[in-house]
Amino acid sequence: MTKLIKSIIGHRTALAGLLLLVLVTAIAIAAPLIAPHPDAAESFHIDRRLMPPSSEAILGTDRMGSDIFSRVILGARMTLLITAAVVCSGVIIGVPIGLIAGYFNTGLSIALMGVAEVLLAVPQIILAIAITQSLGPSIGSVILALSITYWPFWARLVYAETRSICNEIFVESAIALGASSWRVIFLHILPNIASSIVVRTTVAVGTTMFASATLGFLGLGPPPPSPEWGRMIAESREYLPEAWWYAAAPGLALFVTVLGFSLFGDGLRDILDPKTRRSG
Amino acid sequence: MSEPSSPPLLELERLSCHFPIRGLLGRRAGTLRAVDDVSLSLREGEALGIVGESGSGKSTLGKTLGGIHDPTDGVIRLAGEPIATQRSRRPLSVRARLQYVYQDSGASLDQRWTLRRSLHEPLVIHTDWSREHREAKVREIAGAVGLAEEHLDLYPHELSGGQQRRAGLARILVLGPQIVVFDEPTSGLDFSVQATVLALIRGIRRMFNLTYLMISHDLNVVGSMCDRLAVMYLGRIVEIGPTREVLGRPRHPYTRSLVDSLPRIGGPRVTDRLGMPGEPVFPADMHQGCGYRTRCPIGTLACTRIDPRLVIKEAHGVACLEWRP
Repeated sequence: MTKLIKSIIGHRTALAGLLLLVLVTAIAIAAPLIAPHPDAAESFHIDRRLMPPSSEAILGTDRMGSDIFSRVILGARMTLLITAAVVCSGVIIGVPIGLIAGYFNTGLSIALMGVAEVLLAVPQIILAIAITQSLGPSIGSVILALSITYWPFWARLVYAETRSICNEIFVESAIALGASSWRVIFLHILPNIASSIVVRTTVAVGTTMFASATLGFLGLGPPPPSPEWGRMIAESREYLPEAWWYAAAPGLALFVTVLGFSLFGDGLRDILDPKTRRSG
Repeated sequence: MSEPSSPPLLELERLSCHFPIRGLLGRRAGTLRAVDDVSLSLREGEALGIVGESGSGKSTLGKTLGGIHDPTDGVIRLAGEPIATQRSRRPLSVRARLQYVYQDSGASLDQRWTLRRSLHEPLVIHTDWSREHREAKVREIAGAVGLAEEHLDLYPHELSGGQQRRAGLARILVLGPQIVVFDEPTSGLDFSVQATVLALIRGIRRMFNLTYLMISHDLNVVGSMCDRLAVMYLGRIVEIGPTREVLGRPRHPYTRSLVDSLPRIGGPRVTDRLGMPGEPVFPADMHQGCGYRTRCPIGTLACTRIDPRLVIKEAHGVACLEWRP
């Protein structure tokens, strides 16, 4: 573990990504403390509508007169919560399905992978729109819709990796030695494909975040007035280009967060290559 | 071959291992007879070599013995008891007694595990020994195969090719097997390493009183290591007997070509004497008659119809219609 941290610090891209992520996560966790006007984030102040950035509201105000800086900070919570829930359920559903389908490789695995492929064949965002639309806009339905559409990414990856690693001699020899399926799957196969899963997951975080912002943009995310980056960008369109700060702030926040995950994912891919692993 | 008192340690009776050839849409298009009707036996402490060219089924035979493939037909007996039949999981005790060593025994190590963990694993699976007990055994075996204690904390890619093979051997030996099946133990090693690996294999045979079945295409290797030789061609044993007999007075034309193809210093040119044109037929295309007839210099019309059986005279067996005592 300390070795991993050391190599992340030594890797410029990974370090930059990690710092961005730490920053965003810290802001999200401490949001109510940092936000200069937490009470002004979700309330209506007609006298302060669409004010440009100033010393009072450093990122300006929106059409409701709420402080945009506070809303962006509180929105980080919302975005990270949705993303974390979706990615966790994607891993929890997708990885075991991929492992079992890949290792046992029976009729059931063909069926499971068939389902995954059908879900992958439909554009993810359209499927997610259909699901959220039928469930009604809320955080829960966004999480559910994105989880249903994203688990096949892990299942496919893990399935393919498991199939290829099952042909390796060390797996065959472990089976010949009498190792149980449980032992082979969790002690030999999973650790050997873990780095691909980790890399896939960090990359998926970025796409999930975009997808949840897209749903918010289309009005299918958490209902107003709760702060959500996608919805904020959608609202700002009417006031462009005069109120440029209105779109810029949530857009920049989304950009920085996704960039952080992409950089970190790229860095991890380099670091976790097994050929560079050393014992001492 | 004159000890009928105790049953042979390992006995194969009419063992076959066939693979279906799948055509379009997974339809069965034919059968690949990788191992076909092989019978042989091994006495305790003996070393039997199996030779043959690529595709002759020697590796499949080894893997069937090692429990990696299930036999399609026939019986394998270990000390008189049948151990492998179709569709039955082999008990752990049998797996420990009869072990298969991969061509590249180092490849049986998980790249993400230290050597110590890899060597502990067989004992974790097969015994309920304490950590200290296992560690003592691991150290003993590692020492026996010539691995230093500090090697145990390394990952496989940090070891040399020769050390990886030692580690692969150690992984087999911690369980205390009786029979070890070696599959091409020297392939892919340069000559100096080959010699040390062979010396090691010879050494542990004495040290642990092992019975060997050694698969190789290199006649020199098996010739120097084994008491008896079996020659395989297209999944069948075409000749079997004491090493000196088989190499000195080969009875089957195929064995003769193999022996003739060995280069000797000061001997005649190998290419001048090679009486074996072409390639073996694809094992699925065999219908009847002798499998070797397409390349045989002495084949007759009868060979296209009659499938020769292994005839054993004075402990030396041959499957050829043309052979006369």
